Amino acid sequence: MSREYETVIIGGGVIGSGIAYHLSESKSDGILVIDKNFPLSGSSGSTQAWVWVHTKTPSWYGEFSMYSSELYGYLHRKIGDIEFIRTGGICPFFSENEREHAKSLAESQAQVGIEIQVLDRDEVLAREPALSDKVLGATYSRIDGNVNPMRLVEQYMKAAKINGVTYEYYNKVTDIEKKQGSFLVTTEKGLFTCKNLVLSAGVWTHEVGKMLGLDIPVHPVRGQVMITEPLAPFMKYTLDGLRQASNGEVLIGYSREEAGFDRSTSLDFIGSTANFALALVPDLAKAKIVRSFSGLRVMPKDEFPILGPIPGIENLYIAAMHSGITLSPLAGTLISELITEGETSIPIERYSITRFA
Amino acid sequence: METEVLILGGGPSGLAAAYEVASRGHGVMIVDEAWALGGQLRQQTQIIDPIPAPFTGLRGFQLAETLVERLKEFPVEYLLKHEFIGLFADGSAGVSGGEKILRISAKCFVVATGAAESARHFPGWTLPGVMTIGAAQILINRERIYPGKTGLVVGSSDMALEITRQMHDVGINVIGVVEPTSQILAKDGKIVSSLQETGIPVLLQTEVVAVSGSGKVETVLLSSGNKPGVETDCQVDFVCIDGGRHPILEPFSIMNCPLRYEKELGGWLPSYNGKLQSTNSGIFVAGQAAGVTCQAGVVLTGAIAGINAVDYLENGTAEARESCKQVYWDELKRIESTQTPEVWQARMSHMG
Ligand SMILES: Cc1cc2nc3c(=O)[nH]c(=O)nc-3n(C[C@H](O)[C@H](O)[C@H](O)COP(=O)(O)OP(=O)(O)OC[C@H]3O[C@@H](n4cnc5c(N)ncnc54)[C@H](O)[C@@H]3O)c2cc1C
Ligand SMILES: Cc1cc2nc3c(=O)[nH]c(=O)nc-3n(C[C@H](O)[C@H](O)[C@H](O)COP(=O)(O)OP(=O)(O)OC[C@H]3O[C@@H](n4cnc5c(N)ncnc54)[C@H](O)[C@@H]3O)c2cc1C
Repeated sequence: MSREYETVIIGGGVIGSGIAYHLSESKSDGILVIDKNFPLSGSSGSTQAWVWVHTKTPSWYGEFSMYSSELYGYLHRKIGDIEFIRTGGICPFFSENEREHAKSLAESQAQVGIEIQVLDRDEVLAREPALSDKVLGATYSRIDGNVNPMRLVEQYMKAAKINGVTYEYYNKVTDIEKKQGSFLVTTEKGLFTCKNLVLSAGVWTHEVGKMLGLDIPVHPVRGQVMITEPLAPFMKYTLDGLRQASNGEVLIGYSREEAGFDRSTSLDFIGSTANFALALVPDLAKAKIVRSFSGLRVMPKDEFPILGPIPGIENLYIAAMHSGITLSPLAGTLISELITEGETSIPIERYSITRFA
Repeated sequence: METEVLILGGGPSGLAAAYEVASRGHGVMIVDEAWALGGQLRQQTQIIDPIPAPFTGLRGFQLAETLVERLKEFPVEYLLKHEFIGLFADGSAGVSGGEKILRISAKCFVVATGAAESARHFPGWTLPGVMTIGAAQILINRERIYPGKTGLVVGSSDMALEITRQMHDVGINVIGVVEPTSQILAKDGKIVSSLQETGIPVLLQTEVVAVSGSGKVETVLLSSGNKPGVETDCQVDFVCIDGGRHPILEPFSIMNCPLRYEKELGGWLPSYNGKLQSTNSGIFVAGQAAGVTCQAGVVLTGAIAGINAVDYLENGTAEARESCKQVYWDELKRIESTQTPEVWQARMSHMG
């Protein structure tokens, strides 16, 4: 049995669902999302979900992140409440030579329109009294915030389905072939054919690429996050590495480990994460940790998004990136522009997979 | 700290596992987050039946005491008031007493952390005074506190009817047991008839529409399938929910053991083979954590897991141990395949 669609999207995480939703705004049917599991089982369900811009460098990447973050203001009006809050972001520093770095960051980001203030010790403590008094200063920007990733993916999916998108869950893509202008996508539950194919399989994009003879340079980088009991609101801003969610829990995490696809947590990292948190916000010593989880960052070889058409195979697109929560509204918009109009409203050549050739 | 077999959970299955390991001369340590051993048996006052010899005729808490007593002649180590919270990168376990994290390295683990009760949801289910049936049992039998004066029980499993009778015995006015389906779910005829003797009615095809009150339970609103459209008010000060139990999964997530859904065995539970061994060969599972629901099975799977842990330590089995395991499996089959054949079948297919 073969089922025909105009566009098949492999992977229904924040990136795949974001693309499906944005594409469905202009094309009402013919879109299928296939996920081998359920859409929050991958990186998108085990993330910190900062919508974070101001420290993203070089500034062309900061600018790209800023455009995406600006789309968030509209997104929640279109797809419903996703608990997006533009809290403002603080990146504190604890040594004098970091102050120089902060100043040059503020200057270079200003050139692309990202406003950053370099705060001195008193200013940062006045804004966020919970911070350690050992802090020497911080960069601060209004633009940063955070979102509830579970809600985000769920609302993308709901809105996409209302627009006519079909979802296949618990169905793994096992092979892909291109024949006479169509992709033949073999899954555990049968064959699908389509004209356009989007690869948005997160850390598994490498594995999926192999089905087409491609070597897509994406690999998993593990991150462990620990979560406190719900605490009375005491932090206003999103800090680099730690934030208080709207339900009062504090999410803490900064580890970056090469551990393949292993998603276990280890107390060694939880211990160092706890020390990191205490150095930043000493009062957390009184908080109870209720759980921890680990997730896999979708890490392209040079850490920048891989986004756009894949040259040599017509109608094949890729969207694989770290910081996919921040970038999903923009990635979704750009890939749908490519599919519907053949060009994008901002240049994306820099993110082409051809850079690895 | 170091041990050969680290047992997580000192309930009946963990205690039974410890006996098999310690009596064969291997080192065992039991970690439990509670301040006493015995697990959920500590508040069970009914006679446990069926149960294999030498445990016949004992009440729940007495069975727990006997299982603890039996270990006294062996050098078993205990770490109470410590919760298993994670693994270190080298595979040793981290347990926390609230302040510090202790590191315990072990050659293998038996996970016997039991089950948690599931809720049923209706408007007002978070009001103080709504509790699980097991919580009511802990209050009356362990803490000697009345959960309330006048109550209602929602659900009709063996455990719910048994505890309803216990509440009646201590002088609590239970106005009824409501069961949404068209039949009593309890399978044990003795439990059903002993409830009937109390005169407490079981209202079939009846559902809780809502619980209300200012700051605590005051009224429950019931609707009956027999009289569509009619809703009845009852004045109560507590409501017990019998929502069944499900294996506690956190230890398995921590240990990266894959989970599978088995409806008959209580929902999600770790995958394990015929040796009660998870996909990680050094981790054995037993008792309610493994989806075993009958009391005999809890003790027997604990014992079997314990012997398998010994096999693991000794890199192979021995004839005496094999025949011992066979006796336990036969016993389990005899009890379970007559009481709850669907559960026995489900476990056989789970073990593959
Ligand atoms: C600890 C941590 C913290 C992070 N913090 C942030 C942050 O603060 N801000 C931010 O912007 N980003 C953050 N990220 C990154 C962000 O979470 C990811 O970039 C994003 O979730 C990637 O989304 P995705 O849709 O590409 O991947 P996924 O969510 O993994 O989706 C891929 C989907 O593809 C499916 N799939 C794979 N193979 C197949 C197949 N063969 N057939 C069918 N389906 C398949 C999978 O089941 C999966 O659901 C963080 C990540 C981690 C791990
Ligand atoms: C509240 C309650 C009431 C029950 N009442 C009845 C009844 O009346 N009749 C009936 O037939 N069955 C009843 N049961 C079922 C009961 O689970 C079994 O009777 C039996 O106790 C199961 O034995 P077990 O050893 O598998 O688990 P348990 O007896 O639950 O023992 C597990 C032990 O593990 C410990 N533990 C769990 N997690 C951790 C951790 N992370 N770190 C350290 N220690 C941990 C717990 O403190 C506990 O002592 C009840 C269950 C519950 C939860």
